[in-house]
Amino acid sequence: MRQDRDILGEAVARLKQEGSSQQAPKTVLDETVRRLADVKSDDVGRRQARRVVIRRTWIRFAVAAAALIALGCVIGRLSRPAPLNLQELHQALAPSVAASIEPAIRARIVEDLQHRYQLALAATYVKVKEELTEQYLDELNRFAVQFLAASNATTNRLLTQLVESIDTAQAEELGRVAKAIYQIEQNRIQDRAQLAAGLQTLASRTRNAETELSRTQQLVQLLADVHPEDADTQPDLPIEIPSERSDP
Amino acid sequence: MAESGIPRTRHEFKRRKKVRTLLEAHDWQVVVEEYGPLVWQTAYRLLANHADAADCFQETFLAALELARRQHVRNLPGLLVRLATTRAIDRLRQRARRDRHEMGAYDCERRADGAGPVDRIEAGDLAWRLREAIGQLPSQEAKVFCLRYLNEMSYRQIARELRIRVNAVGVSLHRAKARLREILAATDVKNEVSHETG
Repeated sequence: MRQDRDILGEAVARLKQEGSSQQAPKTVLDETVRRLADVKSDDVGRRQARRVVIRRTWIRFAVAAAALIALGCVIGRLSRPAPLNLQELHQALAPSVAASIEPAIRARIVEDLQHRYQLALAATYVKVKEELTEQYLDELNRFAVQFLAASNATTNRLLTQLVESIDTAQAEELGRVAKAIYQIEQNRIQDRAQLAAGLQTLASRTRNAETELSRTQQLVQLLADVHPEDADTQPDLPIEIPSERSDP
Repeated sequence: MAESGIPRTRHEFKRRKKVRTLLEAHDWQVVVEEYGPLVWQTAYRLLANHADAADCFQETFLAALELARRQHVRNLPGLLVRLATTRAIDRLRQRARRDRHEMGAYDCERRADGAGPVDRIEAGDLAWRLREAIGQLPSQEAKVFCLRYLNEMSYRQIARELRIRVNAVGVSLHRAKARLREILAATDVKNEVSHETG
């Protein structure tokens, strides 16, 4: 490998050495310059010729295009169809067209009208419904107001009556209480008077107390000695039971 | 390949500007006088034949003229070297196909100066074998090898002139060197065997 590398490097060096001192021959230089000049002159002439050819070609193309356009116009004019009579065509086609179109137009109109009616009815229904609802609500509010007013009046009247009846009852009750109190007072006064009279009686009778006491003792004695079987036989004694309350 | 790339001196810049002006003015006589030696060296180095080198020389300038008319030329020396190398390699390939086993077409009129007869013959034989090997390479590999090792162009300049990627330049160069080594080694062994038997 070392030998191969040396061979390659040596060969390259030899090759470079061979060509390093070479000079181009004068004839070759002149010939090259002459050929370059020829090529340049040929090229200039070729450019001018090409320009002329191009110009002529453009003219040819323009003439050919104009001829083709004119030919096309002529052919078009000659081959165009005859002009139509629109009035006759209209008269001829009108019945058939009308017959074919009329049912469809009718159906379309009917359908359109139905659609419009349905829309109008729907709108009216909604409007009426809204108005009725509003009116109903107004009536209901008015009735509620009147009812509330009437109920308030009735309630006030009933309450007034109730107050009056309560007042009457209270007055009657007070009258009865006053009467009872008066009666009680009268009774008290009467009892006082009777008590005073009783006390006077008692005082007057107390003067004979001893006698009465002894007499009472006797009576008690008698009652203690009397047997029941003898009671019937005993003569009735006048027994005086003092009344608790003496008449005034 | 000192003419390609960025001008490094003021003189070179002025000369390039002059050449560009002449090229734009279609004054190709000055262009030929200016770059004729470079193109001749490139062609003759590969072809080693006056007639073929002269044809290649003229074709190179004519092709450059056509290219200059069609498109803007940024690097005229690079273009001329590339065109000369391409045409020389084409002729080498034609020659290799035509008389692959003949050596008569080789013009031995010029030898290395200052060397002995054996060295001259050996040097001529080695250079001829390298030319023949370059003629056996694929076109792109041969171009890349010649532009790199004979014209000393950089990878980027080669890629720009051949309109390929820099990586492709490296790959082509590697393949070219490998094939050239194989061919040169094979011919070397063949020569040794023929010498021994002779």
